[in-house]
Amino acid sequence: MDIREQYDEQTNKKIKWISLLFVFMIILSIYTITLGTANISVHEVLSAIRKILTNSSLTVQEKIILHLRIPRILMAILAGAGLSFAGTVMQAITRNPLVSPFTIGISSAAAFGASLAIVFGLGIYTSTSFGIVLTAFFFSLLCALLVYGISNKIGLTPETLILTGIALNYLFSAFTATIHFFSQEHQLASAVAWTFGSLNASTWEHVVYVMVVIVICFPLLYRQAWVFNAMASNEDELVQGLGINPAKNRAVAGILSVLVTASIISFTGVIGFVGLVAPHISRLIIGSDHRFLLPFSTAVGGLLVVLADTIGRVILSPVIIPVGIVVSYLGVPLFINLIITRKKGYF
Amino acid sequence: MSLQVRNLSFKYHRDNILENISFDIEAGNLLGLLGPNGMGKSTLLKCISHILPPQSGNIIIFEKNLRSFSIKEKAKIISYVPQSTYSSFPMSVVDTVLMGRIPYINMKITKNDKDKAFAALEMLNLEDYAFKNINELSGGERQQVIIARSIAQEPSLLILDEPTSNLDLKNQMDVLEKIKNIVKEKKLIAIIAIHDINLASMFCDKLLLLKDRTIIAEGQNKDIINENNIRQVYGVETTIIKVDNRHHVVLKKKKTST
Repeated sequence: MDIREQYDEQTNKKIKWISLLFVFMIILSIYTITLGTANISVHEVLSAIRKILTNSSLTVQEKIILHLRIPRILMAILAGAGLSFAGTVMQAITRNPLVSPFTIGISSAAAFGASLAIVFGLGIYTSTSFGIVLTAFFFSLLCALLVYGISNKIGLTPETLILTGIALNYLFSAFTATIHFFSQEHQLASAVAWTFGSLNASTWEHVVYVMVVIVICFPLLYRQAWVFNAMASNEDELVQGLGINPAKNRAVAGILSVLVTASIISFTGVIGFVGLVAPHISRLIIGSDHRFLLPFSTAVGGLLVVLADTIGRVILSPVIIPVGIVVSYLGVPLFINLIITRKKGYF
Repeated sequence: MSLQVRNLSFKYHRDNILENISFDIEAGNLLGLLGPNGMGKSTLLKCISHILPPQSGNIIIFEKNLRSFSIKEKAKIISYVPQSTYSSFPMSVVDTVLMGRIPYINMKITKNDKDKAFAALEMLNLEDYAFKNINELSGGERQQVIIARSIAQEPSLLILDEPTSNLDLKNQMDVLEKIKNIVKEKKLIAIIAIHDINLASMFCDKLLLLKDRTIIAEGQNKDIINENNIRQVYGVETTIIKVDNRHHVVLKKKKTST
């Protein structure tokens, strides 16, 4: 067969895979609404959704579906999708497979903000849980600005970004540990629990906030798919030779993916592993072309977190295991299995 | 139509790397850049392609100063091929070659872009590797893929930094022959840094000898390849022999003083 036809066929196949994965994610999500302490059937879920959409009056069970299950699962999808997408972008612009949105210290800065709010009640509206969210968000952005500010002085190369990020990561961890050291026992418990990463508190309000950030940032980043292709696989000199300003693109894409990450983890706490591993799982399956990798890793991330959260909800029910913990149990074997069985040319 | 380099100088921190370099080259010609390691060959190539814009001096291409071009416009005129490439996130050969179209695309590749990329692949006979991962290829094959990408970029000026440095004899000949054919066929200007004087003599239309930050000889093979110039540039003793009306260099053994 002609290589042109072969190439077009491959492209179509990839698009088909991506669409299938999204459809699968939606079906699985609807199914997971039925799972949990209150028993609900698929039929009941569908009829509840119909009633919600037509604004009819709801039963208690339908209220559970509307106010607890659906926002929780939407938040799981958004969190997984967002963290994975941001991770893919961060790995591309730093040319480094070990990078995740958290390498540059965002999560430890967010954890510091959350601890600050929980223990000292500092920050804005700290008496409410929203105060914790805002303080966490503020500090994660502050950390990102520091990282970019410092490494900008030395040219915004992948190395400077990663090293400054790791340094600040330790700094904020030290801050957090200091606060924990001086805190009361009950405060310590809730500050530590925050770092597990959990979807228990998800509300429609949270879903809307995260959705807005994602709807703005994703298209802006996806437009740069070819730029990411160039940056992920070439030294800066060559990237320039292709008509791209590497430092500028690194700054813009970096800040956008930080924004996505910060807005998610401020609500959920640290769900760390997805941002590192979902991009790799996706690369092993669909390849490193960001035109396909970005949407594919979005779906893989969403799927992974929905699955992890559901397992966490049902496995020791009524105890709910935080999603941040389960996602590692789920992701690590999957990832290692793929590394062993898939392409040799990878890494 | 030609490339003119005028009084180009480049400093790295406070060290002068290149001083006062000037030369011309006409379209359809392959220029070989010779000189010892660490004498600024790579730097000169990067200055000409404006990856490292020189502090002083000008590069004039088609009567226009390169300084007046935007980064994207430069990428449509100049293509630079580095010594070696490696990627943690390898793409397929086709997609790597398609990257050459980035200066021309706005988000989406068109049929025209794909045609250009496939034509470049065919020009270098890389069809069999099209769907392989670039990191699965040998050094020589990978080098050819990057050259194909440069061709897809449709430059007027092709700059290659030691395109043959880690290839075996046959691959060296193959790659240089392909470059030469492309230069003649598309009427490009090509500049290559190269270590092998004999290979340079076989394929290049014109040679430059670089030593002590500047050009000490330029011209055709038979005018500048002589015992004296080689001794001056490389510090080695040679005998020059004539093959096919070209001057070739044969190394002489150092007299050991024991």
